[in-house]
Amino acid sequence: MLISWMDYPSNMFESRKASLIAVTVAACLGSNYALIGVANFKVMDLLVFVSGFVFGPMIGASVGILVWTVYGLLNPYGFVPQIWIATMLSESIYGVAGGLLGKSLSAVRLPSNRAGLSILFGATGFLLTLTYDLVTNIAFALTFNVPIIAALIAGIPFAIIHGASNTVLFGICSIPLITVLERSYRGMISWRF
Amino acid sequence: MAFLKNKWALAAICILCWAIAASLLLGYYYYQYTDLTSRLERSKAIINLGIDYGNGTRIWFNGTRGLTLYDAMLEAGWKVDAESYGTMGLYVKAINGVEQSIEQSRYWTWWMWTSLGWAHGGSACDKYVLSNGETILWYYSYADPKTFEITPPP
Repeated sequence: MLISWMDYPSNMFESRKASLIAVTVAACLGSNYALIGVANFKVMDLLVFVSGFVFGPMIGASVGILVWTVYGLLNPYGFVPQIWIATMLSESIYGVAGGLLGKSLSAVRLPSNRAGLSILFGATGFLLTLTYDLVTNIAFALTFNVPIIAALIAGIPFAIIHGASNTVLFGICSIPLITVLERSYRGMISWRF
Repeated sequence: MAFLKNKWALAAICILCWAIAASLLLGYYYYQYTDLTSRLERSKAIINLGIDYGNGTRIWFNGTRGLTLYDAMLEAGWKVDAESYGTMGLYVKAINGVEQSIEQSRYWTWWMWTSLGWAHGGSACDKYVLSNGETILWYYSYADPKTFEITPPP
């Protein structure tokens, strides 16, 4: 019965989509745990953004939420429900923004605009990271009864490091990753082909 | 997406990111600076500061605040002419227009009141960190030209 369900084209598409989300989430989690000792440097944000760019905002947001569902629960730095929810929601911003950018750049051929796109992706990574840090710092302040302004100001150096590392990662790695994923999942990406 | 080929648009994006990062850092360091200065202000000591011109005129500035003795002197409104000797600190040559005199062997020295009387200050005034309630007197002292022994205040 499962095989006949899988054979049906629309179900096949859905199951491929589910497996795609699972694989991307696994890649994010693996990179997160591998980089647990390196503060403010995570490949996860890039992977969520790229998944959104290639597969759409819904899948991007799902990847962001699912990664933090696991990573927030099994985190060596501890578990705080309010911050967990805030990180889940704010991580999904990368996926949604990636999806929206992917749709708006659907007519653009990546290899022919490499320099311009690298700058655009780097700047997007920087601005998204600042948004992510803003939301999570506000959640931290509200959770621990810290004045919001003090929490935001104290978080600036970390936000700058986080933003700078994501600028470099997004700027350099986005195009190769997107190119590889588009080649691998050509049939699933409706708007770019 | 024509702006991807427009150098100025791309430069504008880079400058926008740089401006945001620089503004954030500026805000952070401004906050750090104001926080530090307000904490330093609260940690200032309150002392009794006096000046003796060596001619019978002694004026007290009780309740003067300062982190170092030099701060307190400026807080009291004194005009201090000092020369910096690097890490050794400031050497005071004149206070309120009264200059040291090598010919008369008169120099500005500072003294702290102790249970045994006046004790000569052991360091440059800008290197001495004040404690609450101290009594410090600047004295236009006579120093013996042969032994360099300094006369304490009366």
